[in-house]
Amino acid sequence: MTVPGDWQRLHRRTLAVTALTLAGLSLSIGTPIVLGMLRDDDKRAGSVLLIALAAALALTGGGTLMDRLRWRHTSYRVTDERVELRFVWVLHRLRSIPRERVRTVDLTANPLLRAFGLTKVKIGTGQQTAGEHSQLTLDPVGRAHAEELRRVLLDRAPAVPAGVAPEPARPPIAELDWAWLRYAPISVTTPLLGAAAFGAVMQASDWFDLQGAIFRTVRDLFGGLPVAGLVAVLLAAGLVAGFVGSLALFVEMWWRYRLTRENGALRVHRGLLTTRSLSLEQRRLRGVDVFEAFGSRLLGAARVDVVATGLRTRSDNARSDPKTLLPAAPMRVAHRVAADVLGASPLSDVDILAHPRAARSRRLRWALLAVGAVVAVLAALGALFTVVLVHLAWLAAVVLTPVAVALALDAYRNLGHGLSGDYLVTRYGAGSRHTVALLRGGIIGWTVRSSPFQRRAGLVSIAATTAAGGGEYVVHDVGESEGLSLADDAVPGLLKPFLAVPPPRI
Amino acid sequence: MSRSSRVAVSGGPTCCQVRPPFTVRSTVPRAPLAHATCRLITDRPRSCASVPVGESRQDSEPALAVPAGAVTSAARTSRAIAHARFMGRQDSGEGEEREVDEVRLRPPRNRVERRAVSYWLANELLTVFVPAAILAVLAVLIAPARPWLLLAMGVLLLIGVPYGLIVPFWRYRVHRWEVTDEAVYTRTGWLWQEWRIAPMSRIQTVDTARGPLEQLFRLASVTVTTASAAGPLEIHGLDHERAADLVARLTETAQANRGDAT
Repeated sequence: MTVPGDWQRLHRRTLAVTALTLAGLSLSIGTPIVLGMLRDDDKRAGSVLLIALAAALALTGGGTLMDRLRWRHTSYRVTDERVELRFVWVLHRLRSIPRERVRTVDLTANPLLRAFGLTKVKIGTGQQTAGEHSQLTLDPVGRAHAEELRRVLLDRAPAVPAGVAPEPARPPIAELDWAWLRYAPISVTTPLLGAAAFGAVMQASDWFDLQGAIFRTVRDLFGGLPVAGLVAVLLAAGLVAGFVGSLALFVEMWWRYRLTRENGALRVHRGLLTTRSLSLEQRRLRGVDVFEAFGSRLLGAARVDVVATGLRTRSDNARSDPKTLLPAAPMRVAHRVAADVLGASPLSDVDILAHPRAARSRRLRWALLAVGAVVAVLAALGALFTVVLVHLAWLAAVVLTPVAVALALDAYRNLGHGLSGDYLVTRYGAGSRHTVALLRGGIIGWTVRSSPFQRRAGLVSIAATTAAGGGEYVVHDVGESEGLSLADDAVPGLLKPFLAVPPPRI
Repeated sequence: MSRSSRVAVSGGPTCCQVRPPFTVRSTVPRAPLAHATCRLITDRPRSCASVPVGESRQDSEPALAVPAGAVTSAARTSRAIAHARFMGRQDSGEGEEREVDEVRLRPPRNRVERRAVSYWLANELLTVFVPAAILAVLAVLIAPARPWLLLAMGVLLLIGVPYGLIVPFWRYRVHRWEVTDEAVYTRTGWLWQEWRIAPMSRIQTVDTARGPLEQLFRLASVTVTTASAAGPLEIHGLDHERAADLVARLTETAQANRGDAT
């Protein structure tokens, strides 16, 4: 092992990174404030600038000093048994993780860290509930050292005896195919980014007091158009901005994407500006979730998420969501990657069984009730206040009913379950669709739920609880006997003592 | 005063929390003092050790409660056929009714204490009457807002009182629990019902908790957590001595099943 077992400090260049970050932060916060104040009153320009400069200096200097204290008194070490991080100054804090509990090692480097040759290392254990205690962050260490740490911590393979040639590097499971770029714009990010672009333009122009000028320009350019035309032009502009934005986002996230397997661990490497590298121990794997977002599904594409213990389900930064193994890619590729990752192909082999018709009636009823509620509210308000809302109500009824019914029928068609080898497969979703393959050995309990309506229709929802991913994966609205048989077959012996054959109906 | 305690099962989380009764501590000792604290949290007199956990028939009855022999063999054959069909079927997209043999979850063997009904009644009615009383006082004091405050109070009483009077009895009919050597099995809810099964080998912690009102009725609830983020199993309305015995037994059994529990 080349990582020494004694206490070492984090990388010294963290000070420069912190200083630059804080300087950038003060600049980006300070500029609009200063501009705003200057606009109000030009006479105090000098003093305002002076105060702003002093505040920025104080923030940067103070922050850097704090960071220096943190750096000075923080140290970490990797011994044969444990990874430890300690802070010893005024208060003493020691965080210690047994090495055999290390499940994930996550390397992240934003552009600034990369410029200084640094990387942030997150070392996680399999626990979901313990929160902060279950992970340890080294912020930052040198890039080469981080790679070394990752290799050492996740290397569970027995040492290769001298003289035996090392295992030849296997080809990656998946690499970025630029054709996948076509799935990027067809998602919710496009309209969101479009709206954000409008918001940003308005905000920035407000800072520089240019909002009026922008309105005038728009009016001069499109003054001849009717209102509908103007709305169409603005919508188109927003969509174009969103389109470009989502492409850029995809490039930033998935640049040089590679999914590889090394020493029994899966490794995802990706990112243009911020590089991310996630390593996941194979034996933490509990299955995969093949997710077809509505847009991707229309084009026959799917994303592959991993279901594994020790990954946060709610990441604090959704953009760097660590659970995605493969971005939206053609279904064939998604299935191949899923099979490669699992070492079995439950998704292609399984016979997915449909659910009883009663499940369809339930979904149709929900759809019609939802539309009915919207229409009723609009109609009631219309009757009280203005006749416009009444017209809106019947329009909504005409437009929404087919949409809701189509979604309900789709939701029913998507419902399905099955067993294939070591995996339990469940499929669900309206519009978008999830197909989850869950390792049967990873099921740590069952939850059977029924509402009064389900009991009348002879349906139950059966959830397989697991230590991984979302905590439970549900087979929705399955026939009671069928669902219980499925659960009994999936984990033999667990459910059996609690099942009973009801007396025959006469 | 609420007393709660937690015992970590070995092989569970590394930092275990042990909170002895009567003290509130913000920092917890790191050492897993499971054996030492087991006696402490249960806090029971020795004479209670003979109180049985669960019914005696639990172990003596056959696993499958089957009404008659003839039915069994018929059901088995139909089950085999149905199973073959069930596994070999293609995805048709349309849900025709498949012939699957009839199985149901049988209810867990043990009811909760009868006193739990009184406890739930007291609890529900308190949560209705206390806010209602506050609204009434405000209505007396604040003349201008009186009609609105009285209206709010009326609505609260109209919904809350029938709810508080009906639901406890209903809940008592539904809430049941059972502990075997292999698993913990609970049923909870009233309109929306939930059956939960957790195998012993996957149990991480076993907690008991007693709120002030629960102490008044000499009741306790037991919470059994697994590694899943989907929430623990809870058994409410147990006699507090019985709950202590249950915790001791669960801890013991779960400790015997070593492993990662994930």
